[in-house]
Amino acid sequence: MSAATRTPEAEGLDLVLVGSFNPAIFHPEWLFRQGIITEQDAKEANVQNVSSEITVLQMGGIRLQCISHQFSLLTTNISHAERMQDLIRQTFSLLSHTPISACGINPHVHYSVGNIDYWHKIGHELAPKEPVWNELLEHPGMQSLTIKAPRGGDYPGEINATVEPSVKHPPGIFVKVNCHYGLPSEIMHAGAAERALKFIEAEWKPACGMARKVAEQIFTKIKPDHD
Amino acid sequence: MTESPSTLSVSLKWSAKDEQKDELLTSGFFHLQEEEARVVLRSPVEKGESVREGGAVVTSLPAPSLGEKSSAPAKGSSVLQTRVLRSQANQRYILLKKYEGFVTARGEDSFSARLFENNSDYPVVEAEFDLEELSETDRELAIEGAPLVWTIGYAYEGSTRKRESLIYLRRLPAWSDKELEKGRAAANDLTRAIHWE
Repeated sequence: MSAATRTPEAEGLDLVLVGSFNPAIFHPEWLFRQGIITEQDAKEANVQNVSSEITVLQMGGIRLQCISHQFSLLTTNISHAERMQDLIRQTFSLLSHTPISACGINPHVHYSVGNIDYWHKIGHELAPKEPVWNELLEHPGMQSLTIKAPRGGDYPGEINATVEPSVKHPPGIFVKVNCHYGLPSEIMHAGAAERALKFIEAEWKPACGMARKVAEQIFTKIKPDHD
Repeated sequence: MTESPSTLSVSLKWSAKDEQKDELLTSGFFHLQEEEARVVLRSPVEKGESVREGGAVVTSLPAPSLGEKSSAPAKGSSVLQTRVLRSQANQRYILLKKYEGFVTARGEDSFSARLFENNSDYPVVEAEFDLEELSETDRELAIEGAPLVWTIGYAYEGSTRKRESLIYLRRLPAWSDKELEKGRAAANDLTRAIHWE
């Protein structure tokens, strides 16, 4: 199977804001009253906990988690990606004075690789066992590999790309990417939310596609032996 | 090496696995990724409320008010309580196609949209949809110019796989005065840049 024709077995996305939050505000009723979600979504929301310490709720396929220093939206159904973007943009347009220090767009993807030999080959090519590991350990294998790189552009930050064996679709690979943007400290209390939302809007497409891009590069550059 | 706050979504962690029922950890110390987990919260107590609600174990209670003989915590004080949080099972979804675009016209029972997979797509796809394809609450949003996303994929329910077509009409925040001003300035710049022959 060529890299171009490989389809992920599963794909998801997390959006994370780091800053100072009031978890208790994120109740479905509040989201509905502000016009962020529909009445139906509010009624059907699964509220796990809403308190000043932690809020966890599920709306459709989107999970909202908030503690005092982190706000996250998570989904394992990538068709909800734009819904998530709208949710975070509407919410923090309203809560525009929220101090935010960093923002992450974090896609993840699982691919099946078909056979165990190819799966080992990917691990060996990404993390060679020579000259270090084979002499030290018996059957060393790659468990997790993270590559960090700076990200330029209008919203400079970093990209952390991690490749691991897929525990959900073995033999397979799991790729997760953290597109991190640290906001300048001088705007943390003045316009940070607006800047974070601009970052999300501007970097959305390239960031959301990054996990697939990493996986496709792996499949393009590392071929199965029988190809 | 740089020290910066992490935006990886792994820093919210659950306090204990379910089998560690008697272990009490402080709030603010979270471990991640369990689909069922217990967190310890500091909750206000109403008078007469059991302090062992939800299997909670109370470690420190405020002294009873003067004249009160009960060992229960005073109303309004906070105690540590455990709470079980469960996430819904992960949804598995395989995305096959995704189009973005906007509504070009709306009729009585249907609407048309211009769609593209990438910004460089040409020609773009024109499609017509029945309004019935939208949820009741989304139908009023299908007006000319409204942005939308159309995804086609396989959704899983247990071991059953079904093909799914989803149309989502976007709910974007209203333009701010600053953005409108910036848009007007950009339009004026473009207009001025045109040199009519």
